[in-house]
Amino acid sequence: MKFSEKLRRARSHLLIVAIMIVTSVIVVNLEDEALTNEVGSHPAHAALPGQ
Amino acid sequence: MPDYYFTKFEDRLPPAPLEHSRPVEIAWQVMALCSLIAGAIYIHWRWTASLNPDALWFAIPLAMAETCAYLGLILFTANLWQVRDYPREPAPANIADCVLDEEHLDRPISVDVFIATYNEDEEIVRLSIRDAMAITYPHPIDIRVHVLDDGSRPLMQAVAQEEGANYITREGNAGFKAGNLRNAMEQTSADFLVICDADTRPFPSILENTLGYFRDPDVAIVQTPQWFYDLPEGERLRDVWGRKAGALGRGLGGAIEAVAGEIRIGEDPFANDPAMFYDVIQRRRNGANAAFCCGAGSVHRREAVMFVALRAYADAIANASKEKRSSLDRLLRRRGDGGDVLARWQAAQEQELTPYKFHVSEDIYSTIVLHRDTDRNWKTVLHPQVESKMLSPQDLLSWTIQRFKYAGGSLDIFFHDNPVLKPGLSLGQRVMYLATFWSYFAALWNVVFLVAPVIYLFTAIPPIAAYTGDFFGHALPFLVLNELAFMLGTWGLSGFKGKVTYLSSFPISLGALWAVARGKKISFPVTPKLRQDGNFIRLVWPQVAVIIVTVVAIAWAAGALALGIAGYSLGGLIVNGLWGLNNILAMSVMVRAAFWKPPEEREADLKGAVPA
Repeated sequence: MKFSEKLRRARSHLLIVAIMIVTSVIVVNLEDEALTNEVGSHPAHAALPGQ
Repeated sequence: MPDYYFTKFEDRLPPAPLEHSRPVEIAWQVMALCSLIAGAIYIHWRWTASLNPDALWFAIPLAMAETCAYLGLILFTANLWQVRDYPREPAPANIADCVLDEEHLDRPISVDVFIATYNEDEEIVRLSIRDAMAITYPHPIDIRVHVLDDGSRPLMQAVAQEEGANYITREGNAGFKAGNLRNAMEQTSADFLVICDADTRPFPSILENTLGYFRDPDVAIVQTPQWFYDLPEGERLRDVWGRKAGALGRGLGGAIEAVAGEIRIGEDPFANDPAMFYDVIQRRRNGANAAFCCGAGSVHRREAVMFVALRAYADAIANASKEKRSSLDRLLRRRGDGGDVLARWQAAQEQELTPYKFHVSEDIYSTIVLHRDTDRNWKTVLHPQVESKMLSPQDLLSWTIQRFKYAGGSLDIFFHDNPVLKPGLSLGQRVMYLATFWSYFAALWNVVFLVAPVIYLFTAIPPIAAYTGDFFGHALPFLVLNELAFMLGTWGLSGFKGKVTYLSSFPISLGALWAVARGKKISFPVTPKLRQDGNFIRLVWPQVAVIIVTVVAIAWAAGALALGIAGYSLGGLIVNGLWGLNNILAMSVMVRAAFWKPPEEREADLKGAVPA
C-alpha cells in the first residue's frame, strides 16, 4: 500500500487533532479575554507561545 | 447461479494483511506510552483540581466515566502493543508431523469441512460447497465436505448430494449451531475440522496455508480473518455532488477530494469491515496466545475440541457430585466424605460428554477453556491472511442481531464464568480477555459522554471549574497524543467508522448488559444472510433522540448566550457544541444505516415513484 493511501486512511485522526488544537487556542483566548475584562489583568497561567 | 446482489463482487480479491513495519511499531509504542502518561496526569488533575464544586452530581459521574474510558485505553494499548505473528511452517505431509505421539501414525491427514446451515438459501450453500470441494493440498489428504443442515430440508439434501458432499441432519435443532456441530462431530472422525457458516466460501489454499501451524502439537485452533467481499463500495463525493448539483457540485467535490483524498459516500454503511478486528486486534493477541476463535473460517484440531468436551464433562461431574453428595449426606444423615464415589457415579450418569458448549459465544468460550488448561498449554493462532470470503449483514436488523449476540455472549461469560479471575490464564491472556469484556461495558460511560455536553448546553453548568488554559493544558496533550498514537497503531487502516460505531452502538451493549444482568438467556437466532426488507428506524430511536436533543441544546445555548443569560460563555459553548457535534456525527452514521438501501434498490424505488 502506498504511503499516500495510508495517509488518506489516517486523515480522520489528523483532522481531529487539527480541530482540537484550533479550538483550544480559540477558547483559551476567548476565556482569558473575558477574565481579563472581569479582573483587569491577564491571567498568568494562560500564557501561550506567541501571546 | 441465480443473480444475487453479490454476483458482481465475485472477482473481488481480499486485501493483503497489514505490512509489519518495525519503525512504525516503535513510533506507535513511544507515542502510546506518552499518551498514557499524559492521560494519567490528566485523570489525576481531573480528580484533584478540576471538579466543579458547585455541581458534583455532574462533575463526579463525568470524571468516573473518563477514568473508566482511560482504563479501557490502557487495555486497548496493551492489546495493540506489538505484532508477533506465529511462525508459519510448511504444510505437513503426514499426520505424524502434527501429533505428540507419532509412533503409530503413518497416514495422510484427514480433514472434515463442516458447512453449518439452518434456513439459508440452498443456492448460497451450494456456492460454499463448491468452494469447499475445490480446496487443494500439496500432499495426499483426505478431505470430506459435510453439509450440516439443521433445517432438515429435502432441497438442501438434494443440493449436497448433487455437489458430492455428505449430508448430515438431526431431529430438532437444540443448541442451534453448537448443537449442529456437536451432532456432526459424533458422526465424523477426521483429524482436523474446518468450520464454515452457510455463506463461508473457503479459498483453495486454506489448508495449505493453515495446517502448517499444527506441526506444533499444542496448536488447537487457527482462526483466519473473516472477509466480507460484498461490502458496498459507495460513490465518489464528486459523482454524488455532480449528480445533485451539476458541474458546480462535481467541481466542488473534486476540489475537496484533491485536498483530502478520495471520499466515498455510502461505503460500508454498517461499518462491517472486520479488518480492524482481525488484522489489528486479534492478530496482536498472538504474542500473548490470546487470539480467540470466531467460528467461521477457523480450523480446529479434533483432539483439542474433544479435550474441551472432556474438561467440561469433568467440571460438570465435579459440580454435580458436590450437590449429589450433600443430598446423599442429608438423606443418610451422616457427615464426612463417604458418599464421594456414589455421588460421582450418579453425577456421571446424568452428564453428557459432548463437544461444543451450548452457548451463544461458544467459540470464545471454547478458546477460554483451552487457554485455561495448564497441563497441555494449548495455543490458538490468528493466521493474518484471508482464506475465505463471506457475506456481510446487509441491513440494520441483521447487523443488530449479530452485534447483540456478540455483546450478550461475551457479557454472559464475564458474569457467569469470568476467566479473568479464574486460575489458569497467563497475565497477558487475562489482560486481553479483560480488554474484550471491558469494551462491552463502555456503553455505560459512553452514555455519560453523550449526555454531558447536553447538560452544559441546557443549564450552563460546567462539569469542570472553568474552560481555561489549565484545562486545555491538561486535556489537549492527552487527546492529541492519543489520536496520533492510534493513527500509528492502526497505520494503514481507517479507524473512523469503527470509532463512531463503537460510540453509537451503545443501545445494543446496554440492551445486552440489561438482559444478562436480569439473568435472561441470550438466544442464538441465525443472522440472516440476505437483505431483510422493512423500516429499521425503530432500531435507532435512541440515536435519533440523542441527535434531536443535542441539536436543540446547541440552539438553546446559542440563544441564551446571544440574550446574555448569565452563566454561559462563548468558550463553553464552542467546547460543548463541538463535543455535541461529534456525538451527532457518530449517531448519524447509525441512523443513515437504518435507511440504507443498495443502489439497485434505490434505483428501483425511484423508477417506481415515477408515474407511468
